Amino acid sequence: MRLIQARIVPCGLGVLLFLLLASKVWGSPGLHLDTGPLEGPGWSAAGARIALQFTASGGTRASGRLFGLKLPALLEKIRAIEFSCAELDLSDGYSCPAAKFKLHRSDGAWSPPPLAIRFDADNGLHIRGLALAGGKLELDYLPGSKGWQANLQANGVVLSKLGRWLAEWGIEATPEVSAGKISGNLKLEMRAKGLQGELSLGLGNLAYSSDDGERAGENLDVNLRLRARELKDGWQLAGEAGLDAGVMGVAPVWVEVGDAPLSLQFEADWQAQSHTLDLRKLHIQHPGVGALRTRASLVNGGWILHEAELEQGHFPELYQVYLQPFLYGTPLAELYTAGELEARLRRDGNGETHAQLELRRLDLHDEQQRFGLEQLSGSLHWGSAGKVPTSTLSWGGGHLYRAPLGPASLRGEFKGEDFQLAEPLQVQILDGPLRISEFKAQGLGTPSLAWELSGGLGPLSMARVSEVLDWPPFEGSLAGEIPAIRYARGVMNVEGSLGIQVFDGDVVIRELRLEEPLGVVPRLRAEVDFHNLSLDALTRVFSFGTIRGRLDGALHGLLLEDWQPRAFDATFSTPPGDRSRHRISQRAVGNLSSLGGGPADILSRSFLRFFEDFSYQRLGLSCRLRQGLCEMGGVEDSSGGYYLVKGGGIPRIDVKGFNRRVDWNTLVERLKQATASQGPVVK
Amino acid sequence: MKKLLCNSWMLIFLSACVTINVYFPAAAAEKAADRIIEDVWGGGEDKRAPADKGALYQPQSGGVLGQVVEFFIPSAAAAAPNLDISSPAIARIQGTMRKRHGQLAPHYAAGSIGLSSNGELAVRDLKSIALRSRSQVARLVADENRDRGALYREIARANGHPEWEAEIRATFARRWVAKARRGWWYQNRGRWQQK
Repeated sequence: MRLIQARIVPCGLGVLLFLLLASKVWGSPGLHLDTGPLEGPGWSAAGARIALQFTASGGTRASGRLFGLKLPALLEKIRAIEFSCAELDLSDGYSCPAAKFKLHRSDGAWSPPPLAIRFDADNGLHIRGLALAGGKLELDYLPGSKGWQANLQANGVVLSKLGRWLAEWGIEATPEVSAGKISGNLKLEMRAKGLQGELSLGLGNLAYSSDDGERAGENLDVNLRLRARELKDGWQLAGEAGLDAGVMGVAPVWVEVGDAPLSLQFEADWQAQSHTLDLRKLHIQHPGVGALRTRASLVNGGWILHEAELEQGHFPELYQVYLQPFLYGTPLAELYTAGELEARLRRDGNGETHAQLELRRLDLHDEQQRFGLEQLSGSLHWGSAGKVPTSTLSWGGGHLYRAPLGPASLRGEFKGEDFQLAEPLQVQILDGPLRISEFKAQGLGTPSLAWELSGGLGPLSMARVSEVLDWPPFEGSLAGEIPAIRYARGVMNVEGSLGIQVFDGDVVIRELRLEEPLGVVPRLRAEVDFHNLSLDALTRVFSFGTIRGRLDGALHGLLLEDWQPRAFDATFSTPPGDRSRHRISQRAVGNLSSLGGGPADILSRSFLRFFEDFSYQRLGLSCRLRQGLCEMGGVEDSSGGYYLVKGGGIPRIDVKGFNRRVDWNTLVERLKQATASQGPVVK
Repeated sequence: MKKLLCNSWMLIFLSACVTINVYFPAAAAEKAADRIIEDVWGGGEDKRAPADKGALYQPQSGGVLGQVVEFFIPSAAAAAPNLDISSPAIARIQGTMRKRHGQLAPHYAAGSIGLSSNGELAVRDLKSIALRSRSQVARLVADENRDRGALYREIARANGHPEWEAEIRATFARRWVAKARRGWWYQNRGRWQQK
């Protein structure tokens, strides 16, 4: 018996038939055989009982039972296997065209439809016609001198049915799969060095989803090849996968497979004792978007990324597929992008992370046209700690709202969440320079982003400034030293003041504050003072009708919401003690009158129409804007109203306003009409 | 003793009522919220829902409630009669939300998204959204929430009380739910419920 068993061990279950016949009990009408304990690599059985009956017609009927089974993982529930064959054919090896099997589990039994089985000592075991989960399976088992080979071929197995079948065996392998068919081949080879296997699978129309829908795929066509080789302590794994069609992803990123398939290659080692998966290589190619190479480990269920490299990152696809979903609801959610990007991330032995971004001619344009940068190129280096190389970045141009930005290049250092400019930077804005002598940012990539800048602006020509603001063309210039611009919690505060030399006078802007510059409702606050402006120059630009003289003014508590005036306290008036020549033209008088609600042609009805202009003592206008209403005033109150122009000399003309509360939009409309019209017709 | 205790509780309750109304015009905020919600969602609330109960209770309860409210908050109403929702910024945000609602409505109806208890939108059932539409829905929800946040902030600011933002948000959170169509989902103490 011992001798016989030695042959059984390498051959496994199929050899039982051989055993039966080798015992030379041929010719008797019936036969029963009981074996002692049996064992093979990875399995054992308490024993086997085999019975043969020889029918009168010369056929052979066989049945048997293998019991007290201990099988490896996944098959461990099988306690016993029964088989029977009505027509055992012994002419060429041993074959049975319709063998019946019954697998006894600890909690029930399963019988596949009858199988075709053929066996001989040299060619091993071949099983055909195994139907499972809507598909067909074929099994070939070949014994060899130093091991064995097995091949399992599956065709058209329906995954949802397979999932249900496996669940009966206590294997929750595919709970997320709702559709898909699988065909493929599993080849196992046992050699002296250990087991090795190769799996090739084709999955068609695969659909899966996690319970919460965070991971899902639909209509996927997948090709998969996996190779595994047993090592002393674990497994060596490698494989490729190709995704030919469908859509899949992990929220919020959903990837639709385009014309070119996505592909993946990996190599890994599994160490059983330390429970470590060392992913030596993972290479993912998304044609037209980018290619990613990574190296990582899975230690105790947690992933550690050692290295990642993005090659040929291509915009706009990279932005649209992988970046934009994380930016929804932020100012960076709506960008037109173009260009290329490469990135490298590396973690060294000390746990420090270094990242490098190579930008190649990247264009970023906000869809709402608030900002844009073109031809961004450079190397950005980032490190969690330690020494970080200096980053360089340059661009070919851009714009901030409607103000064009010139080309520039900068050098700076990123470390942790901080960035600092390494050397001063100068950027052309409109037709003048913006000089940034220092720039520091903290909390990059976090909600607590804050930055601070110091430098200077200008001189910019007011002609260009007024052009981008859609104002009539001014003469003059804008300049300022900026001790600091500080940004924190969505608010940008400008310290210091900006001076504008315009209309032969000065405008000073102080306490400039910009809230949520890229938010839903940007808000600008400022205090503006006007000194000694030439009314002559001013009225010429606005074609309001000529006024000669000087003007002081204040625009305090200015608040722009959405770039529209929401509140301010404005007063404009002739400076006290002003000795310049004070004249006001007929047309200007008419326009002023219409601002206050009177008729614009008021003068043409009287003898005053014969005078081109008039002398005045003082003029002025005030408006306190709140909630869309402008509370108006002039240089001086009069009975029931206020003086906008207090006349002097002969003929004396006063312009009085009576309307104290004016709708702001109406006032703006009137101003527009006044500056657009040719003025009252003098007859 | 029991009566005294009861009375003192009443006092605390009353003073609490008054305090709230002095600082935050709750009734006016509710009215303002309703006006905006009706504009954004189009039309009034679901007319089928209260039909039966309304016939029984509405005339009486309206009258009684009205009196009670007036009795408690005469000064508050006088101090802050209305919430200003007419600023151009509010109008613009409201317009954007109105336009977006056309795209959001089918997802409300399908139960894919719902009203969260903080006055925002949330994806309730990701699985019910076709994979190819998920990015679009995520974007709509993020944009809507950005606009809702801005809307609450702008209303508080337009009325000169930026500190009211949280209360305005809470008021809207209640009113979105109250005005939701039948079948839509909303969060109640962290759990989803269907209206």
